[in-house]
Amino acid sequence: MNEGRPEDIYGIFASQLGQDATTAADQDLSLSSSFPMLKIGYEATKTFTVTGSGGPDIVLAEHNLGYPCFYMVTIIESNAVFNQPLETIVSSTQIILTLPAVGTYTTRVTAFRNRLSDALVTPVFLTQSKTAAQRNRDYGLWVSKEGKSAESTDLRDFTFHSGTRNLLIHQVVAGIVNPTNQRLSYINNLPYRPIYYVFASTDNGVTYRLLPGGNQSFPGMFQDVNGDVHLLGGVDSTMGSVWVFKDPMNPGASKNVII
Amino acid sequence: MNDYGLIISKPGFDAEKCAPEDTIFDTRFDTLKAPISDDFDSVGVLNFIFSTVPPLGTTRIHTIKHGLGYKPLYLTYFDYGGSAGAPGSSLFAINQVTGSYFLSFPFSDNDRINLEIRVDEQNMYFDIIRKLPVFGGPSKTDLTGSVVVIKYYIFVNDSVIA
Repeated sequence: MNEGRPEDIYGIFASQLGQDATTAADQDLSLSSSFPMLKIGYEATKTFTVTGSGGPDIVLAEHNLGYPCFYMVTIIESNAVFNQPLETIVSSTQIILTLPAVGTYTTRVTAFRNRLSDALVTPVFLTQSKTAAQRNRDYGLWVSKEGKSAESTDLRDFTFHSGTRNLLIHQVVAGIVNPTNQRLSYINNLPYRPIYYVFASTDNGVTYRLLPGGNQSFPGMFQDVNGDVHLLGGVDSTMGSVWVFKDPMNPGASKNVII
Repeated sequence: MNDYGLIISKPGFDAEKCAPEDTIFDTRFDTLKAPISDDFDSVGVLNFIFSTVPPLGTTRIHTIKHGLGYKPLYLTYFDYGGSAGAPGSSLFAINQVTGSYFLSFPFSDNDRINLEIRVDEQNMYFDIIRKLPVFGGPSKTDLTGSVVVIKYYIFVNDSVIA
């Protein structure tokens, strides 16, 4: 797959600093009209205490978007933050936590205005054009949040800033697990192993569960050495949503830490 | 909702009327932003090479200073063995502090090395936690010779909602 910007393709592209928007690889863009982005539509925090086992599940958030959506759950401690060690599901209205171990938790939920049921193949736009101007690096695109200055130096004040790197969606495979091989698979067509998220549903798409990396019980998932990503269904007619981003798991430049 | 910005709709949808779910890019909504900065690497890959069996308990193995002054949202992915994002073995887990449903029987919740990644206002921390098997017998948590690859993103998005 061509990762550059041939002259007969036009659209809106913003490259990261130090990159040429006309030639940069897709994963080095901050914005491309060919590849959708995750749009934060709802955020909420909740603090609760679990005193024993056997209680009901806990509603972390009422997002009320009307569809199961892409989401993240983060645990906020008094002095630090870490990511989703808990089992959660998303419905069309709520994000629900399976009752965790005894303890006090503060969660932060981020729900995105991206439907899990929508399959997507990119590039979305591939239109003919005859010109492609070389762009000066001293430019950019930034949009501040309502009430915030576009000249702010705090990047939290922007909904988009081309001085940052954003996750661009490469492909979404959504639907029912293949009854023959019990899989719903993304077949990698990128020149690298991309990062991904996998959601599974065992109730015909009413709710979806975000699968943790290496989940080995059904429904499970894994990425193979070719970069293909597989949702593994079970005896249930599992539905799923496999999200693949335009970003390599290992871009080559890395740092060794000896333990 | 602000009445300025940039909206790009999907083909077949009117950018002025369509739902946000049918846009490709929509500045009315915040995005996850990893800064391109000389101060710290907001996106990076770390190869954790196990040269010995770590001691029991918690050991801090790496720290990244981001210096943002708030607790940022972040993402991490790991590659261990042949499968990216999957452990390939029940001996290693990431950010798993409760429950054992991630792991296949008979390996218990304690029979593993757990990598916990967390952030505070100044740093991202990588801790490994080694526990002995609760069922006795030889430890299955010897990862000597293994390489665990972690990709991380630190976003300039506050984890605490104002």
